[in-house]
Amino acid sequence: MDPRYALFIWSSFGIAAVAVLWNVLSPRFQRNDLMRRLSEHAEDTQGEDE
Amino acid sequence: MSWTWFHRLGSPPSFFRFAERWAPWLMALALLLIVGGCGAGLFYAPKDYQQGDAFRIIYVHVPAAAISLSIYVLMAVAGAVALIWRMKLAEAAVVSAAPIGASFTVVALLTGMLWGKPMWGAYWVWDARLTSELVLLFLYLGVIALNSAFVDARAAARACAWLALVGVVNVPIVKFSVDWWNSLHQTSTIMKLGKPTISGDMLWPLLMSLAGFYLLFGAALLRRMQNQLLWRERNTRWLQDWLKGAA
Repeated sequence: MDPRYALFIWSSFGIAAVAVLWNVLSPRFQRNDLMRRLSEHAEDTQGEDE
Repeated sequence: MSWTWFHRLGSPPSFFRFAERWAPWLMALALLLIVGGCGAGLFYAPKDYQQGDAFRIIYVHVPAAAISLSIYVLMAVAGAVALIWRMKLAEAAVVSAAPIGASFTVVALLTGMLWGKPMWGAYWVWDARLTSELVLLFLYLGVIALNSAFVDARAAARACAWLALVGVVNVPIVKFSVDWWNSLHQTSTIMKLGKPTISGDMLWPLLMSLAGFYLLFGAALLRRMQNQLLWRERNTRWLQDWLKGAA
């Protein structure tokens, strides 16, 4: 690869890789957080019922 | 052929189960195509006779730019469905697609800057294509901000749907800016009427990467819409049954 362009090319692929990873991982983290909040919500509503 | 399976997807429980089943496969296929397409673009495709190796940025820039436009069109269509038929899944689609679209717009802008510097001698010029793509990013950020500004999820989704509908006027401006005005940015190479003006050895890795980015969007959208439903439908019987099964 031409060294004059290497930094621009690798930086571009690096930025794209970060975006791909973010799109793969962020819904998963969001879901883990939601599941935790839902279990808290379920405990709260159970407490209210009792 | 029966289309009842398609209509069933309009119901949150059916959609949730569909997404649960297919999102991991879509995601795996997307990653394979992206790695294959970008790998072939970096190491297999021949150098461009004018731009040399710098043209390889096309393998991330073009898919990101194309998908940034497609996502906004999808948001506008989903927005229209949400406003006219008040369909919960369409509302979830509008707010779920915005962060994905914003991420790909950022990639398109940054990789474009990194391609522009060695080719044009500048990272940024206030060119019609670059400026309208920047406006697209602001529209995505507007939808995200609007969604966070409301307590009621349905009211937020309807406000976002209006912004998606109004903002879609920018999409043809981005797409045709290189034809309508004198621009430093090159005209379309692939997505145009007639034959693509790119060699076959350069084209197939690009199509592979493009397909991978679209599938990644599909998988990420399914997951984010599921997350929307998890919270919105938390008091429904079907979701409580599912949660018991998942626990």
